[in-house]
Amino acid sequence: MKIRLGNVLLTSVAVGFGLLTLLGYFVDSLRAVRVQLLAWASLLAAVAVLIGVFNLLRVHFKKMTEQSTGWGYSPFVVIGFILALAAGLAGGLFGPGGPTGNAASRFLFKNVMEATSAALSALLVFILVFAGYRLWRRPPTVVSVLFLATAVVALLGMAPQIVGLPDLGLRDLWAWISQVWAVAGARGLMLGVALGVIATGLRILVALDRPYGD
Amino acid sequence: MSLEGLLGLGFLLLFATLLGLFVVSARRNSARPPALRPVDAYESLPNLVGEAVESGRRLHLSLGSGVVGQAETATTLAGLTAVGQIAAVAVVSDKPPIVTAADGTALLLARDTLKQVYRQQNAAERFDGEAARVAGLSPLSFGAALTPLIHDEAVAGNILIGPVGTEAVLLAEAGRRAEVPTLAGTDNLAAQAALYPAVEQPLIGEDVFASGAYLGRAPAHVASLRAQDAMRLVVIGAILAGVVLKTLGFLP
Repeated sequence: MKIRLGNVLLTSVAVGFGLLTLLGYFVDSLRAVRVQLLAWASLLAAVAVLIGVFNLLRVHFKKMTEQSTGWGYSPFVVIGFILALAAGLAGGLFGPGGPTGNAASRFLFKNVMEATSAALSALLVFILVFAGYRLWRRPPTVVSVLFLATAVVALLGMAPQIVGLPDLGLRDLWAWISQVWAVAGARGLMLGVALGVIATGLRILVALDRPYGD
Repeated sequence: MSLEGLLGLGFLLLFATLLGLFVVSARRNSARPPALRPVDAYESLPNLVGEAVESGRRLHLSLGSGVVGQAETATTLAGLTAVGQIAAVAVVSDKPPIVTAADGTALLLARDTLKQVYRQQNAAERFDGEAARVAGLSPLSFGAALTPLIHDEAVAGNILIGPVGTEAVLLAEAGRRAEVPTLAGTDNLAAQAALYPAVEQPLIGEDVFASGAYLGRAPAHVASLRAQDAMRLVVIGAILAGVVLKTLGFLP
């Protein structure tokens, strides 16, 4: 097997700094090293954000120039980017409030970002209701029946009570499900996810996985 | 070092030791295929990839809307493992797969992974740098940007493995309308609940971290699953011991 010097160097640097950062959480004398390494990582992350922005713009400029399928959305991305950048720069350079707190940025955030985000979030509700309906039409399994029954109990249990109608114990049932079964299930899933996260981290720390270089 | 720190370090050392032992064992028994619990999503994946290759359309692989360097880094890297393994099969297609991310670092890692796959397949000249791209920089813009991608890029299947919130449902719905199957897995509990009815093949719980073991059967990934199972028993034992000690009044 051919071993490249560059890969050995990359792996050594990654493993070394990874171990130092991890130990910094446990050994007090290494805490300053950990903080410094994380500060450097934040700097690199800031550069990566710029790379992400340039990639996004490049993809959309290319779509516009080639007029490839769906290019009609791309001008909105580019114009939105220019407007947000101009508002941030103008506010940061000339106005009070800084790049994000100035009137123009706040106007864009409130009237464009918040409004579209709220619209998309509302759309998710409809999609989920239809997805639940489609699940009901699929061949039933134990899990799908439990899922739908729990969803119905949750909706009825959390809905405002209609005056004059008995609640049939649905509120108590929902409280029991959400405080006992749902919490137990969520903790079980979170435990599995946490173990998965640690295993992935350890594989990278001991260089069994190398998402950098060959 | 505090007692909590000592316990945490001990836990990690035990995990790492078990991982090492299981890696050695997996490499010794590499000729024998590992027995893994069946996961429908991973079992259906070869068909999904095969159909995409045969139909002349492309696969859309997504790393989710997480940011490398934040808490969701491990999940993004798990998605990256899946991207490497799926791309290794799918690059032979006339239309090679595209990878979407929501962060510059994830983009660079995805690009590097794709490049490695092409190089390993002796097809470095076919690598297109724009096959990996940032779809949107915030979770909702990312989710919204994925929906037209199915038509724009002639996508035959969506595979989303990575940190993503309930916005993943937008992709699942767009896929359903276009009759394009979607396989999705995330570490986010709310998103898992939302994806369960929305996609045919959801990945639940830690299944999202198991792609390396199921798709590539790599000894390190199989060993990782076995170490996770062993550590789960350790944690369950610790919880039960805590309950007993607390009940008997030995713990405050």
